[in-house]
Amino acid sequence: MKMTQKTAFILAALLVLGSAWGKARLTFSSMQKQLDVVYTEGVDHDGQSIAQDIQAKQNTARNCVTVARRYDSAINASLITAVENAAENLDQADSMGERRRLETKLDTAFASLSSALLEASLSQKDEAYVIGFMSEYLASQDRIERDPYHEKAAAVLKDTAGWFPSLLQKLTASSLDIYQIGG
Amino acid sequence: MTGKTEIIRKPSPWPILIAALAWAIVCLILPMIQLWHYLAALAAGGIAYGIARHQIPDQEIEVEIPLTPLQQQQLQQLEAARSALTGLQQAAAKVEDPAMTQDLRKIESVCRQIVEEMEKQQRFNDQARRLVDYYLPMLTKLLETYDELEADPLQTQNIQNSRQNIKKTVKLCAEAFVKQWDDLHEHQSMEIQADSDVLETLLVKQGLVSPGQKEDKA
Repeated sequence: MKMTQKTAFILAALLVLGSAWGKARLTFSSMQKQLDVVYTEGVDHDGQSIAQDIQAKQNTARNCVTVARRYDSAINASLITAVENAAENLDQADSMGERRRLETKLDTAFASLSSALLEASLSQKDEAYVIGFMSEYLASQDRIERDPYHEKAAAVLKDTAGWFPSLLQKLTASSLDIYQIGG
Repeated sequence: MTGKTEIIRKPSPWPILIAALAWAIVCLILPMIQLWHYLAALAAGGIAYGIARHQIPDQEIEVEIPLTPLQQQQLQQLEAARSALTGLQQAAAKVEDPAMTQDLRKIESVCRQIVEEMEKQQRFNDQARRLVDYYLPMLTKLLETYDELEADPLQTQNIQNSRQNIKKTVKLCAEAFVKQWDDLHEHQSMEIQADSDVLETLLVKQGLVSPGQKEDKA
């Protein structure tokens, strides 16, 4: 088949658009995958990750609920339910934004429940538990805030900032799903 | 006139594909999420196109050029003229009379030159065209008649008179054709004269020849 100018233009256009679109999409997808790996497995793939710390917060909150149930009469039931629901819903979050929102909700609910427990007349042993839960919870939060994920995420956000990368994200239907402390 | 095809040069399509390939290679190397990545790919494509355009020769394509109505008409006229000339040559070959043969040779020579000029110049003088389109077929017809009369075994008075008339007509035609040929060159002769006069005047004005020399020539 003899190649004509028109055929060449069509092939060239397909090659140019296809390669650019494909590579941009692949790049965004790769960035997202790398961040997701750091989020779930940690920067050294040792499990020391934000996901693990959030899981730890959920466990601590559930343990705190167990203690609170022993003092039904002194603790408002809604505080317990709020912690339970927030911990439960957090497992079902399907995006980083949603996860972050539910995590904040859990933080607030846990803070309210633990304050109520400390104000109530607990047994000495339970009081020690509650203080321990609060310390664990704060430690988890601290680890989340110091996680190397945030540096990686900041680098990705820097690389994808501006109108052009934003436009490309729209064109390639690849919006980045990033866990942000302030977000 | 008969050159109905023309070789046209078209740029090869390969430089376009090579440029696109260079773009795609840059796409493989760079992440393609920043504007400068695209500008780099564009530059690579442009350079590849420039090099390929320089290295790959243009395509030479033979295309058929449609004739204009005027050209078609001229082509038909030329073919008719050639056909009329062939007809005359065939008819003249059968004539045995020496004087008539000589006249026919003159006519044939003039007509052949007119046809050649028509082919060469792509220009059709009305008078010349009339000569080959109208008079020549008539003359050919007369010659055919002459040939038939000559072949008649009885050769009656009327037949002989008719043959004499045709002979006279052929002689007249020969003179007319030669005159026509001369007339056709009158315009050319006038142009040559005008060009010569201008050149001589310029030479005199620039002092390269004296006015006397010009007059002597005249």
